[in-house]
Amino acid sequence: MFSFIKKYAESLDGVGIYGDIGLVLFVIVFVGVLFVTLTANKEYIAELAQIPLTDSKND
Amino acid sequence: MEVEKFNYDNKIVRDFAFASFIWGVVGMLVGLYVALELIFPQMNFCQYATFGRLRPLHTNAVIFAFVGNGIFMGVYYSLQRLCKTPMWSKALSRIHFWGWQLIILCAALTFIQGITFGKEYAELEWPIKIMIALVWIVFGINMFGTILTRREKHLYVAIWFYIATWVTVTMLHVVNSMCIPVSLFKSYSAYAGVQDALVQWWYGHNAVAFFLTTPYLGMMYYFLPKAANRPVYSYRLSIIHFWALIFIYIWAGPHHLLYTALPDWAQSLGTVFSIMLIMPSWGGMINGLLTLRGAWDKVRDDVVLKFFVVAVTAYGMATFEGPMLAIKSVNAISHYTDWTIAHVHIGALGWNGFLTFGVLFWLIPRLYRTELYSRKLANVHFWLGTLGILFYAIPMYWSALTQWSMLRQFTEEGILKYPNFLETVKAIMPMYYMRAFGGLLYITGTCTGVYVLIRTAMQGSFQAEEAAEAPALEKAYHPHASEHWHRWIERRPIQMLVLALVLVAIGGLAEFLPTFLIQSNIPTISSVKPYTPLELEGRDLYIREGCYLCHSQMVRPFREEVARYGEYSKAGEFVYDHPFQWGSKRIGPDLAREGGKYPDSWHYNHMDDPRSMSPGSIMPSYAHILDQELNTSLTERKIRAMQMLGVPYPAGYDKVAVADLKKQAKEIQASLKKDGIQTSDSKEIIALIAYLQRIGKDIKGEKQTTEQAEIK
Repeated sequence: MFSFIKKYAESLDGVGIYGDIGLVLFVIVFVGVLFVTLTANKEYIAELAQIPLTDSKND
Repeated sequence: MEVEKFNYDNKIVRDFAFASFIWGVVGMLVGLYVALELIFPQMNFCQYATFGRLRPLHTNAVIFAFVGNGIFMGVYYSLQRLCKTPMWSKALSRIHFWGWQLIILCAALTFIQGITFGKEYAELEWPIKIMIALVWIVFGINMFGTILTRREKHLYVAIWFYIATWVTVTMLHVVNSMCIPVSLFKSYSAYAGVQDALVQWWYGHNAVAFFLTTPYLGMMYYFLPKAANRPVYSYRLSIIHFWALIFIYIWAGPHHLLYTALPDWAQSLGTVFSIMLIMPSWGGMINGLLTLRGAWDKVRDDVVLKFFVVAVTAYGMATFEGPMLAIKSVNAISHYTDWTIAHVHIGALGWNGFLTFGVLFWLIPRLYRTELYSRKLANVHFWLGTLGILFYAIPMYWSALTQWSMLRQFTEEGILKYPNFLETVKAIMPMYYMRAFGGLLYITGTCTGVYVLIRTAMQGSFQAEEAAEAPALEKAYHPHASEHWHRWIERRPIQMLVLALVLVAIGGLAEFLPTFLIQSNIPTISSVKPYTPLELEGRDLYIREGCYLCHSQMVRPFREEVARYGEYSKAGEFVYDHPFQWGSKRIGPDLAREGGKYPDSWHYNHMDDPRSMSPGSIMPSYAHILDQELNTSLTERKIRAMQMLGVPYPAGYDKVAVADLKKQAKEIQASLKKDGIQTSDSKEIIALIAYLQRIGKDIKGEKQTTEQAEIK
C-alpha cells in the first residue's frame, strides 16, 4: 500500500525535521500552558474547581 | 439573566449503567473460563470454546462492553450536569446505546467462529469496525452538540478528557483498521511485518491511554469530588497533566516491541516517552488522592470512596510499573511472561473495575431516589475485589520470574538446562491455580455488587427525567478584569478538539513516517519470498484459531533464545506478513523458526492431540482441522488482495493459485503417507502444516550470524 508513497519518498532526506517540529511545538505549548496556569488568578481557579459541586440539586 | 428550566436525561445513564455491569459479569466469566482452560485443557471441549477463540471475547467484553458502557454512563451523567443542559439529542443517545450493544453481540458471534482480524484488541472484522465508526460518530455528535449548547461557559477539566478521548480513539480506530477486505468476514491488514507491529502497538497502547485512562480520569475528576463533597486538590495540576498526558502517551507504543525486529531508534523513543509518562500519570493520581486530604475519615464510612481510593492507587501503581516495564533491561525479563498479565490486571481490575463500581454505587441510589440496598454487602464486594486483585497479580509476578529464570538457565556444559518449554509450564501451574482463585474472588465480589445494585433499583423509584434550571448563557462574553489565558481555549471546544488532535497526531507521525518511508529501517532480505497459496491459507487458519495468542513469532537477540529457538528474527523476514503475528505472550513456545523443525507427521499428530507429541501440554486439541475441508473459494481473491498490498506475486498468478495449492497439498499428503498417516489432501490440516513448515525457513539458507548473540 505504501509502495505508492515509497516510490517518491524512498530516500526522504532530513525527514527528522518533522520530529523536531513536533518536539518544538510540544515544548512551546507545554511551557506556555505551564506558565499561564501557574500565574492564573487564584479565585478564578477556585471557581473552576467548584463546578462539579454546584451543578445539580441531586447531591 | 433569565433562568431556563430543562430536564437531564437519566434514562440513557441508567441504560448504560446496567449494560456496563451486566457485560462486566459476562466478560469476567469468560476471563475465569480461559484462566481455567490453562489448567484444565479438557475445557477446550470444542472449536468454539478454545482459548484462542475465547480470549478475544474476554478482552473485548471487558474493555469495550464493561468499560465502554461504563465510559458512556459516566460521560452521559456528568456532561449534562457540567454543561447544565440535557444531551443534545435523545434519538442519538438511543442509537448510540443500541448500536453499541449490537456491536458487542456481533463480537460474540464472530469471535467464537474464528472470524478475526488477527490483531489484539482490534480483532473485529471490517464490517463491525465500520459499525463502530458510525456509532462513535453518533456519540461524538451528541457529545459536541451538548457542549456547544451548554449553559455553563467554562469547560470543566473532565470535559477536556472526554474531548481528547473522542478525537484520539477516532484517529486510532481509523488508522489501525486500514485493510483490504477479501470477503464479508475476512480482510488483510494494509500494513505488514514491522510496520504493522508499530501501528498495532501505537494503537494498542493508546487504546489503554485513551479508552481505559482518559475517560476514566474525566470520570474521576467529576465523581470523586462529588462523592467526597470537596473540590479537586489542584485544578492547575489537572490542566498541566492533561496536556502532558495526551501528548506523551502516544509515543509509548513501541515499548511493546522492545528487543524485537523493530528499529532501535523507535524502541528507544518508546522507552524514553514511557518513563516521562510517569509525571502526568502521577499528576492524576496525586490530584485524586489529595482531594481527600483531611477527609480520610470519610473513606472509612463510605464504600464509594473506598472503591475510588483503591482505584486511584491502582492507577498510580500501574502507571509506575508500566514505565519500569518499558526499560529494556526489565523488559528483557518481562516480555512474553505473566508479568505483563499482572500489570494489565492491576490496571483493569483496580483502576477500571473499581472506579466503575464506585461510580455505580454512587449513581444507582441517586437515579432510583433511594439508599443503597446494603452497605454491608457493598463492602463485601470491596474486600473480595481487593483480595482478588492481590491473588491475581502476586502469583503472576511469581510465575513470570520462575519461568524467566528457568528459560535462561544454562548447564555447566553450556547447553540449556530446561530445553523443553513444557518444563517451565509445569513449574508455573500452581501459580495458575492461584491466579484463577484470584479471578474467582474478584468475580464473586462483582456479582455481590451487582446483586446490591439490582436490589437497590428494585426498592427505589427511577427518575427518568431530572428537573434542573440554570441561567441561559450570555450571548456576548464580557471578560473579567484579569482574564486567564486558558479561558480562551476553554470557551472554544472545537479549537480544543483540533489542538488535541494535532498534539496526539504528532507522536504517531514521528514514529510511523521514518519506519514506513526509509528503506534502511527494513533491510531487504533477498531469500525472503511471498507465501505460497497453500501456506497463505494455512496462515489464515493460524489466525482463525488465535494461535498468536499463545505462541509468539519473534526470537529476541538473547543467548538463551537463540539457543532455544534458532537465529534471532530480522525485520526483513516479515515484509509479506499481513497482518504480523509476532504475538505478545508465550503460553507455549515461540514458533518463529518452526519451519523444518519437525516432520509433517509430527504436526499432524500434534494438532490432533498435542499431548500425544508433547506430554503434559496444555494446548487445546484441534482435531476439527483434520476433519474440515479447506475452503479455497477465496484463494484467488486473497492473492489479488496481497498483490494490491505490494506482495510480489507474478501478474496473473491468482488464476493458477488454486492449481499450485493442490499440487503442494499432494506433496504434503504423500509425506504424511510415508509416516503412516492416511488423509485426504483437501483437509485444512494440510494447509496449516504447509504454513508451519514455512515459518522462519527462508533465511536458513543465508550465512548465519554468530549464534552467541549479545544483549544490546
